[in-house]
Amino acid sequence: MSATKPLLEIKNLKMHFPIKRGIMGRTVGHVKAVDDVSLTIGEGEVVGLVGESGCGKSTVSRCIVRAYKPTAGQILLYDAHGQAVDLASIPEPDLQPYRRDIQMIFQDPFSSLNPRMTLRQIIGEPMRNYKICRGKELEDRVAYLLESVGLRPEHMSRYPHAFSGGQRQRIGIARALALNPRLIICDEPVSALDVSVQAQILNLLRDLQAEFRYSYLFIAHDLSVVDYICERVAVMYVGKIVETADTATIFTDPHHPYTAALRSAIPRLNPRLRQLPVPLEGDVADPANTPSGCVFHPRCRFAEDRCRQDTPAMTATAARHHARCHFAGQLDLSGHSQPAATA
Amino acid sequence: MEPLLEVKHLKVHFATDEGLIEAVRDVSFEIKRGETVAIVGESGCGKSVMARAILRIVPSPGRIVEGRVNFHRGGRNIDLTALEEKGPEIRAIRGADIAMIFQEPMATFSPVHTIGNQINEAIILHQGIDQAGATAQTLDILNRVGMPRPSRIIHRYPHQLSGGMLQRAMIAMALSCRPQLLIADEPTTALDVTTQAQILRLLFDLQRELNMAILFITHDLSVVSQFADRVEVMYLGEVVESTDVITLFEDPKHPYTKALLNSIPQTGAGRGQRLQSIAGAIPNPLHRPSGCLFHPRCDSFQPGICDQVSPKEINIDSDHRARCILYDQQYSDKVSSAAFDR
Repeated sequence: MSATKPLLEIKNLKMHFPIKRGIMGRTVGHVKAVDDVSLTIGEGEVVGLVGESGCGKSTVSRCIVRAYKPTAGQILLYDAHGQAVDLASIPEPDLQPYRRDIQMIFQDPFSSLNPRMTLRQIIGEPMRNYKICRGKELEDRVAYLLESVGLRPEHMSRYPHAFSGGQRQRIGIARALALNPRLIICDEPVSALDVSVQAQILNLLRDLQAEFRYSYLFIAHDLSVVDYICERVAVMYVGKIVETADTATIFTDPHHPYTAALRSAIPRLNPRLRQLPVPLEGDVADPANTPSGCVFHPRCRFAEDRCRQDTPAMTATAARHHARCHFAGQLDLSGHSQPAATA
Repeated sequence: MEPLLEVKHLKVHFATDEGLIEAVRDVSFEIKRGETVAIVGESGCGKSVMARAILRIVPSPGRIVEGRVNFHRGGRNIDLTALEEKGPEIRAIRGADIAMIFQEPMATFSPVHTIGNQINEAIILHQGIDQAGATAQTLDILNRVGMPRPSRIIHRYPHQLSGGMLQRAMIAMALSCRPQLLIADEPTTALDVTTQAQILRLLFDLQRELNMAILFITHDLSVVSQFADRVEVMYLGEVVESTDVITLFEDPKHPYTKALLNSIPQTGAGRGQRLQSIAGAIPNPLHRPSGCLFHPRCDSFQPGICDQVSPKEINIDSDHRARCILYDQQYSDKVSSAAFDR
């Protein structure tokens, strides 16, 4: 990270949704979907955000595009001269010029495209909205975008229903590229696709990144996908980031027990290496009623009294490696990350 | 060992307004007692329809047009395809001898009855015991699937439980009558990895305890590698490769199986290296390719053969079959050796 300039810096982001009860709509509590998240994405960097469902990873992405107004914290977007603007606090009307810098690719290629619009309209709309080009020039640009995601430009007049899931995901990618964004948020872009098509889309996203140096925030629950595409990974659990590190080290040498457990839960692709992982007991904690101290303590096999009382802070455990655990770097997590070989 | 279930030349067709969809065309395989057989394939390969055909719950307008499903029960051999779809015989087997769990537990349970009542109902129906006895059994089975505080859970409605808990409740319901065969249709696809690990572990332990066979339907090869004894790989309604799990992962023969294995990202293994993807998309079932169904996407495509002849199932080994002309003696002189190196 030291080498690249920061593009987006999230500082102490909080997104609390009020729970309202009764006819008066009295607020009786808060769902702490995102609770004190800090994360930096460098220019041209691919950062993964992983976690189980309900951990708040999609809420983070929605705060970045300001689909939600964050409760607290800063989301600093840096321009080419290093000037920052705080997307979390600027008023809605002033957001427009910055929205084009951040685009999104969604999980479901069926519901994220308007069935009544042709590809020309879908991909051309962002460029028309920002008055970038029109007429023949717009058409040429749509054709170019379709080609760069591996679709045929002559299909421009067709509607989304004529395409398969993988092709639709390509259309969604072309739309995200239309404004030449600086950051692309990929929210589970391949989890709805068949295995044989997943690889095509992952390769495409990687090629585009290599060619145009986009920054990606890659949100996924599938750790092997994240491992394939990301340089750095942040692991989230119940609204908090519990560990960040380079992809090469986070799964081989995790410093947070949750990351280690997540790692060991991925089934290996080798029938001779059958491991029945020590599964994590219980369910993910309820973000409306978070446990005291460390949010992970009820499921952690290393938990001690201190974990039930004090909330651990993010601490540096190695170069470019941070973990939110009282015992970060002191635990022997190897049993979790390297499964014993049994026949 | 004698087989528990034999599927022979099963064909299931859907006559739709747009045309005839051959969802399952000529599928044969068998499951032995206590064995885990995985059916692997991508969407539209017919794996779920095939599983439903065994239980005779193919949704309309689907119809079993050919084939037999022999179920061996208490020394008797019953052809399930010959039974009346809503008749008493199949209803006595369904849920008792052969049970099924589904991907979406939320859609399986009735939202207006408590979990306890729904599991009780299955027990009362198949075992003919009274309410009190059924409740005792329900509590016992919920305990066995690792449900916390079963005595409270039985009074809960499905929407009050998390996905993992509901999946446990569904497994409990399926196992309440000690089936000999459990059909599990993508049982962990909707779950998070840590919950998936819990559920797979649970199924594995219960299988040992009950000596139950499992027909495991999935698209996830990593789950297969950890769980199955035998694997049937399906593509567009056909079994293209069939063998034991170790051979499938170490010496796959069919180009589709090979390509599928190469296209999966693996943690630690594939960093920096491109994934090998399979070209194109799964064809529309209404417009099946000629010849070999996989030929438009195949790396080892042999022009003049693959696009014209439907490949036969070839015995590579006594226990390993592949549906590909590369292994067919008849074409051995016409196939370039390069095709095998892929």
